[in-house]
Amino acid sequence: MKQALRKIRLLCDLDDGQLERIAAIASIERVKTGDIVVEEQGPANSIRAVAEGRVSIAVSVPGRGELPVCTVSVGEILGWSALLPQARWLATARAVKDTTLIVLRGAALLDLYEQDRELGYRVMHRTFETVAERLHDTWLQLMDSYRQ
Amino acid sequence: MTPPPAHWLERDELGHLLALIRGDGYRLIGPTVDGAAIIYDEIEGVDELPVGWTDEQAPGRYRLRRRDDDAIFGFAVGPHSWKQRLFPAREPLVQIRRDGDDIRFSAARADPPPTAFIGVRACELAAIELQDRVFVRGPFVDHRYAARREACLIIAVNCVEAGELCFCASMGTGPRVGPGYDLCLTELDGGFVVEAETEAGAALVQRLDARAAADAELTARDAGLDSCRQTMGRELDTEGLPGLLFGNLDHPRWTEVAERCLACGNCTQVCPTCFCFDVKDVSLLANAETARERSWDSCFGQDHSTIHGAVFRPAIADRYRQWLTHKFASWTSQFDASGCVGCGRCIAWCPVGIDVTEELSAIRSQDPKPAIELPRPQVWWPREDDPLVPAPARVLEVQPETPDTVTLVIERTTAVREEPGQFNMLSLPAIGDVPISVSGSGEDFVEHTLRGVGRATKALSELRPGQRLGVRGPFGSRWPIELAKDHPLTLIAGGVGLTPLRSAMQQLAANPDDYPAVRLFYGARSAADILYDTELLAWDSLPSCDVSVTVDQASRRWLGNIGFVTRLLRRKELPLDGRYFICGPEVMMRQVLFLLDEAGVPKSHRFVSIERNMKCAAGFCGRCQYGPYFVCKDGPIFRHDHIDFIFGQPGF
Repeated sequence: MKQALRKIRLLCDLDDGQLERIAAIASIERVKTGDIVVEEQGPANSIRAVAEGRVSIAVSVPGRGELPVCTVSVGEILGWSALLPQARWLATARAVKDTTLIVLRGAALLDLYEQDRELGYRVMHRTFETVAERLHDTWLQLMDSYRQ
Repeated sequence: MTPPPAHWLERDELGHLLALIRGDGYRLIGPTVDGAAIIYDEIEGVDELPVGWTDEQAPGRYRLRRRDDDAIFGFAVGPHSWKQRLFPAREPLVQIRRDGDDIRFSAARADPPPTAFIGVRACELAAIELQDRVFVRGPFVDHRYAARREACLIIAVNCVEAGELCFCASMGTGPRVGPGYDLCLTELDGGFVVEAETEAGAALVQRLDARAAADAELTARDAGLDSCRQTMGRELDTEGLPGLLFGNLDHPRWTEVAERCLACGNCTQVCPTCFCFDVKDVSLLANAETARERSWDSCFGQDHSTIHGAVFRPAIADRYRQWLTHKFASWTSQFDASGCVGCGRCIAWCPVGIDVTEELSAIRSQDPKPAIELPRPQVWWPREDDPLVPAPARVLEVQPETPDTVTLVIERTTAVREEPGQFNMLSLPAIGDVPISVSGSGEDFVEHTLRGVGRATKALSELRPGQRLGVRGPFGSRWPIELAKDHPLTLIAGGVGLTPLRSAMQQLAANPDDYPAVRLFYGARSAADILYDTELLAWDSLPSCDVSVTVDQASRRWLGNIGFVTRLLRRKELPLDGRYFICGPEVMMRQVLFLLDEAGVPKSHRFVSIERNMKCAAGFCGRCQYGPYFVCKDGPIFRHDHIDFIFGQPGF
């Protein structure tokens, strides 16, 4: 498990001991192409990292069905909503390849942050980096810059 | 070098000189009073010259006044310059005749009559020499300009009085007439000191009743020139000006002057060196015949910088800065000389009296930032073929790529083989021509992938096999593929930005020994907009190539990456010794360059393709200017560190 965790960017600043503590709350989830990983509206309880494969994030639009907005690839995370209190999934994640995910329960992860503030800071720092990048990339997508 | 022998010509003999020139078959163009100004027009003799007139000039002001004497050349300069004669405000470039599917293009020849320019001032001769650099000493020769230049005889006049707005002494162009004249006159009491520089000039002197000039006359000439030099109405410190201006692109003075500037373009019209032009097709008789005409343009106009509806210099401050930085800075990089000769016309004819010398001094004196170093000028070996005349070419094949994009396979018309990154100008009668990147080429064909977005590209994309179009080129710089030998190479493309990279990719894929590690990251709008899908798959299957594609918008059926192209880059290593070729919308390229900055990839390892408003593609029309560069001849492919001081800078 520790080997697999090392490849996750979110956890790249952690030392061995910290990684072991994360490994203790992590589990592996395997999904097939087309499988739903999390479903919009459902309770958001776990943050996931892609160890292998690819997952698309899609929002349901009435009359248009599921509209994919981005994909998450190896080393990247999805489901940061699970770190928010009483959160629900804002989008549906679906495997677009056979995919292996590392699942970290949100509540357990928050407990770990409380116990080891340094670990918490390091992971949250990387989470923020991911959120910021994803937001920025979304702006660029919205610009529809290839239209002309 | 010994100075040419000087002669003395009595005042009354000037008529004889003009008659001799006319007798030799020249028409005379000289200064003459017309309405309230001294202009240059066809004259027959001395009587039409502005005898006893002078001009009073101030910012935004020009008035004629009677002199106390009967000096013939006792004025400075009026609204006209010799530019009108050598580079007319409007002229046909190409005649196009359509006969069914057949199209013929022929050069419009100037065929100018021998013409003598009477009364060319030092600053004006310098201006002519500067326009020579544009039209005959670049990568190509403008044959119409060259023919008129060849046909002219220059009778210059030294200035012994300076105007209120003159600053030729600061610009190093006067008041003494520099090389390039046939005869030079200095008007003194009772006559002229005459110097001949050419055989034609010397032959004229021999036929005149002119004696060798006396020492006193030469002393008077020099005293006149000295006094003129010392009484210039304006002064300009030109030391380090180009680097200073480009180091101060965000100086508050640009905004201040923009509040006064009307963007009327008067300054560019009266400027004897401004050379920007537009090209339009003018149709006659139901489109069977079309004339492709050029007309003077101005960087103060919105169209000057507009492509696909996007205006690159939207604000007046952008346009004023463009004009001033071009004239006093970019010219040095482009043509190895300042673009200003110090004639003062732009000050007199500015309706709100903006004074360039004052604006430049303000930038220098009000908290300037340090100067930056500008690129050195390139030396060109002009090609003799007429770059403005297309060759008719047959469409061999039309390959649909996406719902709005096609690849035209066109028969090759030139022996010059296009290089990856270069472009051709494709044209249709009555529609005009547009720059299109080369997307592939073979021994007897060239490929262009284009999307029908504007009038011209729509018409081109509707062509069918067997139909004809005009092709001129290839133009511009290429992807420096050889620099990537033995280095990992990453190509990053966005949208139709893949087209100029496609031919590079074809070469790279075909030479795996030289290029064993090539990656292509390609962002498209949607799955339906992906170009060359079969080729992308084929390249990806090669051991030497790795292709990643992402789309901005997708349906559920799409199983590939979704997200901006930067997301692909974040997932991969960006090797420091790698080479990077980037082509796409500027906003995309900027984000990619940020990521390369973060990774620490040296700017000299990155190459980008820049798009600006290319019209002539030969370095004449000035519309594709990008800071000190012309995109058509210095670009479109630039090394990042060569343009990073203007890349992403609004208004360029």
